[in-house]
Amino acid sequence: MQKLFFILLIAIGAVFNGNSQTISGNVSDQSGPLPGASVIIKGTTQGATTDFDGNYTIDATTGQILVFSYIGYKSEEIVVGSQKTINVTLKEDAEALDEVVVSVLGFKEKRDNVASTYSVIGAESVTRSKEPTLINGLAGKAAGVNITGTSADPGAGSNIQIRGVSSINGSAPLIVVDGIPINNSNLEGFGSDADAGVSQQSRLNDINPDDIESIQVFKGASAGSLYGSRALGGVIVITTKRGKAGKLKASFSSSISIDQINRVHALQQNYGQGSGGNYSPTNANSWGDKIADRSGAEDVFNTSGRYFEAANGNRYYPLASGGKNSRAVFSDSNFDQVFQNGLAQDTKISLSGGTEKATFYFSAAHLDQVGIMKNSDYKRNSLSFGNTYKFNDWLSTSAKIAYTNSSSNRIQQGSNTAGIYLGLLRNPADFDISDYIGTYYDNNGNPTPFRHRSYRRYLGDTANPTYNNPLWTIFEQTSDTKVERFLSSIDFNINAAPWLNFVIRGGLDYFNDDRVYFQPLFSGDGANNGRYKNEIFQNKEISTDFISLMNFQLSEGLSTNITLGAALNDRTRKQTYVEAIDFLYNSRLQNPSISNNIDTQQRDLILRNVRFYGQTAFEFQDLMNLNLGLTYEDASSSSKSIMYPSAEFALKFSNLFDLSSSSALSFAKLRLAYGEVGLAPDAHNFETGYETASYSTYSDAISLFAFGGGFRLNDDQGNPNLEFEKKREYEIGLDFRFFRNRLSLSGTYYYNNTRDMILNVSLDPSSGFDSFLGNIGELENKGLELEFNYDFLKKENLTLSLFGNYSQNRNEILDLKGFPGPNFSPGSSINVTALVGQPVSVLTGSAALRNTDGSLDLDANGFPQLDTSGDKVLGDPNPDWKGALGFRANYKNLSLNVLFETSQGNDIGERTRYVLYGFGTHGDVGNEVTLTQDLINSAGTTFAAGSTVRGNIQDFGAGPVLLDESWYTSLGGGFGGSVINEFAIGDASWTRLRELSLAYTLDGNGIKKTGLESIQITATGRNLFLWTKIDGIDPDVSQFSGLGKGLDYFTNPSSKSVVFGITINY
Amino acid sequence: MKKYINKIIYSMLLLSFIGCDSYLDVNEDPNVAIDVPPILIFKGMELADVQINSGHLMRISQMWSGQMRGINSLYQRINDYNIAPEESNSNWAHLYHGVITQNRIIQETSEDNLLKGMANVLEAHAIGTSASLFGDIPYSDVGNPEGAAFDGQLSIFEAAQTLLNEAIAQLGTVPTTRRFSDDILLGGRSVSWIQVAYTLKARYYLMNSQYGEAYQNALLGVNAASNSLRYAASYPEYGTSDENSSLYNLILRGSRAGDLTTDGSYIQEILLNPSNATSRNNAKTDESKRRDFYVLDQAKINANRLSAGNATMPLVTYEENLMILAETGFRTVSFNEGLTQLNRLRTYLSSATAFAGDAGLTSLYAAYDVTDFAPGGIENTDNITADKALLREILEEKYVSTFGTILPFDDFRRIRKTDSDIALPLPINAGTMYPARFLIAQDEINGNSKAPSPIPDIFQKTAVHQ
Repeated sequence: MQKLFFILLIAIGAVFNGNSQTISGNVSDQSGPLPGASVIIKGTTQGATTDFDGNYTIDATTGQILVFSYIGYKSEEIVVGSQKTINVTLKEDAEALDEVVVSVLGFKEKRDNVASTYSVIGAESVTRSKEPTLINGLAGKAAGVNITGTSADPGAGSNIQIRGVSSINGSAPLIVVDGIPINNSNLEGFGSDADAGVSQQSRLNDINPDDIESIQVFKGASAGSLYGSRALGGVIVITTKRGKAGKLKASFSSSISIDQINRVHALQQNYGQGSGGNYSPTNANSWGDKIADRSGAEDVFNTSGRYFEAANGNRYYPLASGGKNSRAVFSDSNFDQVFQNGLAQDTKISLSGGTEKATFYFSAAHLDQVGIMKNSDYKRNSLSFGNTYKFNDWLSTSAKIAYTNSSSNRIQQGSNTAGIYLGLLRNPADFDISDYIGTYYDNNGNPTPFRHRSYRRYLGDTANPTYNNPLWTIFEQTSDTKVERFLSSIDFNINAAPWLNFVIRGGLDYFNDDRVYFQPLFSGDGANNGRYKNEIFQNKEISTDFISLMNFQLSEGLSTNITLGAALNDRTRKQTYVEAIDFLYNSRLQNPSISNNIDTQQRDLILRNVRFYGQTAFEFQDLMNLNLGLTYEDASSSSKSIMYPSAEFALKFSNLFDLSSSSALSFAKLRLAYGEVGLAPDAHNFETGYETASYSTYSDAISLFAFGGGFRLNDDQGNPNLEFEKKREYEIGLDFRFFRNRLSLSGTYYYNNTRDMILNVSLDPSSGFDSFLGNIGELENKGLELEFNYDFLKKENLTLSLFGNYSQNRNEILDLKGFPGPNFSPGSSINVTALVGQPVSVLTGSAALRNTDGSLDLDANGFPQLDTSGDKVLGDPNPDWKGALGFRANYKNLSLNVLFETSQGNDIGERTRYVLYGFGTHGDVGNEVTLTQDLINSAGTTFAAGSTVRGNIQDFGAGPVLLDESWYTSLGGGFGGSVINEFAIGDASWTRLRELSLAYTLDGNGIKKTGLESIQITATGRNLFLWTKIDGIDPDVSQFSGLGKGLDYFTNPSSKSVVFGITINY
Repeated sequence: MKKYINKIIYSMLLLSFIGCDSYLDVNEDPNVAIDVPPILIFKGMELADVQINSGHLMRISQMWSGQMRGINSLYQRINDYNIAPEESNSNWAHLYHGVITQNRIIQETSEDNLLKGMANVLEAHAIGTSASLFGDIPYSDVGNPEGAAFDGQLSIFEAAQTLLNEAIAQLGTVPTTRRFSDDILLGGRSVSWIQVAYTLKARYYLMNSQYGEAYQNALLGVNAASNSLRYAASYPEYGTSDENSSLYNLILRGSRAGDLTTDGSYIQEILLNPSNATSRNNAKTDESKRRDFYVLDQAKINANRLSAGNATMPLVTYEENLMILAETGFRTVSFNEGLTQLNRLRTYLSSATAFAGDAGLTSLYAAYDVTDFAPGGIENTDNITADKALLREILEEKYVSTFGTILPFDDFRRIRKTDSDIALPLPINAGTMYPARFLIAQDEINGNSKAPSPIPDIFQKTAVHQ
């Protein structure tokens, strides 16, 4: 590392040459000094940059020409004479006054000419949020851009969704980094079930957030149409940093984040393990005796025979009948053995600099995070190097290479008896999870070492623990992911003529994702005999683009830019999977050689596409812009090619009026856009092939593999006529700026429609197949997005701003051609699915029987009954609206940032809570009530007034009834489709303090004397407060990723953090 | 250089246009076989048929007929008749895709009569069971893209008879010495498969109370224990790993282990328990060992019990065939024929190979004689007619000896219709009615507009039992 630093220093030093005369001065504009302006000696590589006060110093000889430039200003050239001081006042460039933004193809454009809807997310606002992963740093930063996490497991992925769901088939936005599309997959693989396993990662998070110069989110189809089938969900254009001509800059930053669990499920501590009010040390449930009623004496054991001896020598004997006397409860100590304060240390350095001819940028970063669950971690190292070089007046190049490696251990979760929360939350209050591993001695004294002691097997007397002890899940099982990623890109820019440029662009995105899941002997979830799984994804994506850019001045006031391009894209993936079960001995070796029952699978993927695109942009008298585009695309996975037209029109109608400087309105623009984009089918779906299979009805899978092998015709039917999904979108938008641009407002209304949606639809079994893939569905989204920024106080040393965004989206499935919608939550009793007339991801499941007037149809005892006529719509996990509101204050060198985010009207299936009702461990079911009247329970038993019983009183409509074990273990709690899952749905609206940060920058002379530019110290709070009606879990998490949102089923929790950071700039 | 750039670029563009088609021709699936010989898909049909007949719904049928109890979670609710249509999803998928779709490929593409015959027997087995459990279901119209029409239950039994006749004809052309090792149930023995086909014919006739046809076909049915269709009697590695074990063993060792048990069930506590005065045990009968053999409980798995990983599971058995002969022989031939066939089974039960069970426990199945059924006899202490007493004992014996199949649930529904006075006094788990069928699968309700709406509930009798 250090060595590299010196080599770079020498390299940079070599291009400078000494000179005689020292000139200093100040660069300013009408309002004051311009820090960061560049001063360059024309025709040389020599230059300087102005400091914070606009001062510069440079060595030059008489007769040389100094070029003073600053973005947004006209350059000034001054010939060096005898003067020692040259002060320059730069004039604003009327055209360049506009902020520069980047087009979807990565070219710079003037902001006010853009007719597409986009949001700029400043790099500083991403880094300021101090999220260890890039995607989470985007949350709340732009209207209509939704980030949902899966859990707080270190390194766990998140989903990005723009303007709602554009396709049932997935509508993650395309991520373009420096003009090259990159992979942002979140692959489950064979080794980890969608409803269980571990939270998988998002590949965008391989990017070091510090390398980012700017992020622009293009939301509409008109902007994305040049990318065709990959821009269905919008395009996020990321530009990474490049060096600038001028002196060498160096930056070092370091931060430390302390994370804590942000919501905890409430558990009852009043009643013991057992059922029917009786204690039982092996029962699944906590409907046992009242702990306070126990004698409080020592427990009595039968010490004559078998026992369990823990690693520390503690012995556990069978409880004698009626021997449970202790009143000790362990809920808190159990929790503390699992959770801890997470800690993340993030260290980054960057170096950049260059001359007019060549620049470079180098960065290195190291993240070391331990999670809020013990033994979970995420380590990431990244290096990147970018340079630009001008060969001559017509050829220049820009290249970049980034390398990231990461490793992470995340904890098994979800619908998984070997998962953490399942074992911890179902654990009775009176069972201590300590001593989870040890030796079991049977009645004959035969030892079995490394046995697993869990609450249903307190002696570790069977190979199957039923549910894992959470400590076993954490310390004995591992789920390691190791990723290596290379991203590289190169651009050649050829100035063929003053009106003609060619850009040749190539990119390579490669990653190797190697996952090992290890469960030793005596683990739950079918791994009683041990299970080793290794899954490797090798993913490669090569992109090439040939682009020609032409400019013509057609007449006075009318100019046009024409872009013509051709692009090839080649994606390949090799997925290899090895599963070894039934270990030959109790080994901790993580290698398939410890088993002779090994299954291997391989999945290869090739997907290619070709695009030709053209776009012509007319500009008329700085008043109107019209962009017309047409893209042709063909993909290997589609039976037909496709054309995408687009049209955008912008009218800067404020330019129609003569806006004096005193006018409140500074700028106004109307935007109209129409565009089409698509989505290519997944690869290799033309045929119906043969597969091996396993056959199960309920917890009893048998497989062809285990019976010596065999095949069946796949139950998922292929389709040789698959073609692109087609989305079209209309937008109308208005942008305003008031009070000399201090208040900016932007609003967009959109309507989009996606048809020929490729759907793997479940068929009715009597069709002879399970599912069919076809261009089947149609959906629409309509919505409104607003963004604003108001610098309501702007004084010399003090700026106060309010900013925010609002978005609402209404999604509706219009047509599924009579097929049932796909299930986005396989294995779950509450389905996340698609139904015609409902928004995508609607929740369906078992409901209570109702009368025609909608009231509950109660049984004779006054309790709801299960509606056995099939699944009903239970809720909608999509928010009615989302918004964010921020406050920013800058006083001298101190800045404060506050960002609140809210999501309103979204539902969640609180299955954890509901299942825990059945198990009797949830806080809600640990109450004791003294009856003031005779009450009946769901089993029909009457409890007399005055009696004190465990339960809750509720009135379903036929007078108060007693909810007790008979209710919570039948229809009123538990899992499966035979409980009333309707009652598990909750209002998951939330508001959170997403970010609170305070930064102080030291850049005074004291610092300067040390040779440093500045030092910034920051303190950031992330997710510090959360207001929601949902107890126990942050409603932003989800059991499933992608479209399967709005479900909590023993999903790993989220965190809140406090982060302290320091950045030193040289 | 510069002046050539344009030419180079445009040539590249042109080349990429020309190269497009072959460049994009990479969509053939590199991961799956598309030319599998039909003989390799037979085993999957067997596993699908095993799940239909020995899986989730069979276990539920046992809970609803006094042979098991659901005591926790899902099974606890289902035990008390709270069941949702999704519980039928797997059975339906296994029936239509697992069995019927695969058999169509075999019948259309194979020339091998052994394969075709065996596959047809499996289909007849799967569809007959399903018609019995669900009543009217799609069969003749399977695969109709507009949604398959529902056939009447009776016509499905007729279609199954036709299919079995075809299977018998196909199997009849196969040399009797031929074997097929990929058949995990019967090793490809055509003679055995023909017998299984006849027993199935007899079973379906009996379900429809066509006693004469049932008797005639049962005479050609499974004539020895070695010809019984049992999972997975012909797979030498059966029970050696998790996914090739007995379904009872799997569920009792898996994550649902504690949810069901035979402890406290009618068959365990009342019928077979020697300490219960009203049990089946008498001077000529000791069920101690068989009772132990039938114990299914997560904490009581052992090698001598049906819960062992390698304990074969009954599908179409010698025991069943003998009991069909006994019942239909009694009904259509004579009292003595019924008694003779019953005693044949008792003789078989007395052999060491009929079932495992704890060697330390006793079993006794001495032959009954006419006097045992006369009023006051050991099988007629309540003084009903001798005919009724014999029929009652035949049905009770069948209830015990077909444990592990859906037959006890089938017979109980049938007998409540034809001979309700001697029906077993099985407990009602909740409410006042016995379940009479299973629910049409949720997947079928979702996808087939021809499914009845509302679907019949579990208390509504199917056509054969109305």
